[in-house]
Amino acid sequence: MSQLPFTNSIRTLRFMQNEMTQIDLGQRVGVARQTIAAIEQGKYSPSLEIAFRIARVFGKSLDEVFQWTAGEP
Amino acid sequence: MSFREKLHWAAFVSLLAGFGWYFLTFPWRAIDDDYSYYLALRRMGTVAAIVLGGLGLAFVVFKVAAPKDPVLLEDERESSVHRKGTHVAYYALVLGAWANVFAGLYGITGTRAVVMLIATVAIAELIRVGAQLVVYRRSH
Repeated sequence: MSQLPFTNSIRTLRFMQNEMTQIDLGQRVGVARQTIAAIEQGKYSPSLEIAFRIARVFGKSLDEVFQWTAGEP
Repeated sequence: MSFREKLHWAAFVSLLAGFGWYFLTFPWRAIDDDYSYYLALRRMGTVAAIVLGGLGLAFVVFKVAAPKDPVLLEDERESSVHRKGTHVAYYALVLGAWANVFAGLYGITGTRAVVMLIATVAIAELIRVGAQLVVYRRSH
């Protein structure tokens, strides 16, 4: 599996939101807990729709949740 | 491990058990007998019973163990896992189909041809579920 070219702050944001669980976030976004875990660990690249949904749950913009780390696209 | 991944493991084991029984206990010495053609097809009923029985049993066990899991709808990651596994199995199925075509051209017919077709399906199914399990583990 290749490393994703971006990282994310979902774990941090969850804890800042009263220690929201992966299950809670998954239910609000509409995906399984395992999918949230895979996204957090950088093992799964979510669709743009799910990325936006996650950002909206935390009231953040997309680039506050996901950060590009691989240099120039 | 998600409910669907657990069910995939159950499917993999059930398929191995079902087709394992089919090919390991097949009366190979009698493959050219007249009745073996129908026997080859009838035995598929037992395979279906083993696979469906295994899946049904696994579903009940997993549902009792985690009652909330089975109501989860398939999400985009799981859809993607399914597509990737099916994509890999497609090649096995096509190769198997061509092998069957050439076997037919070289005179392999009757029960031998039926068993070859069943083996093609068995291998493609095992590759599909196996590939899906690998992708589940890697999360891709």
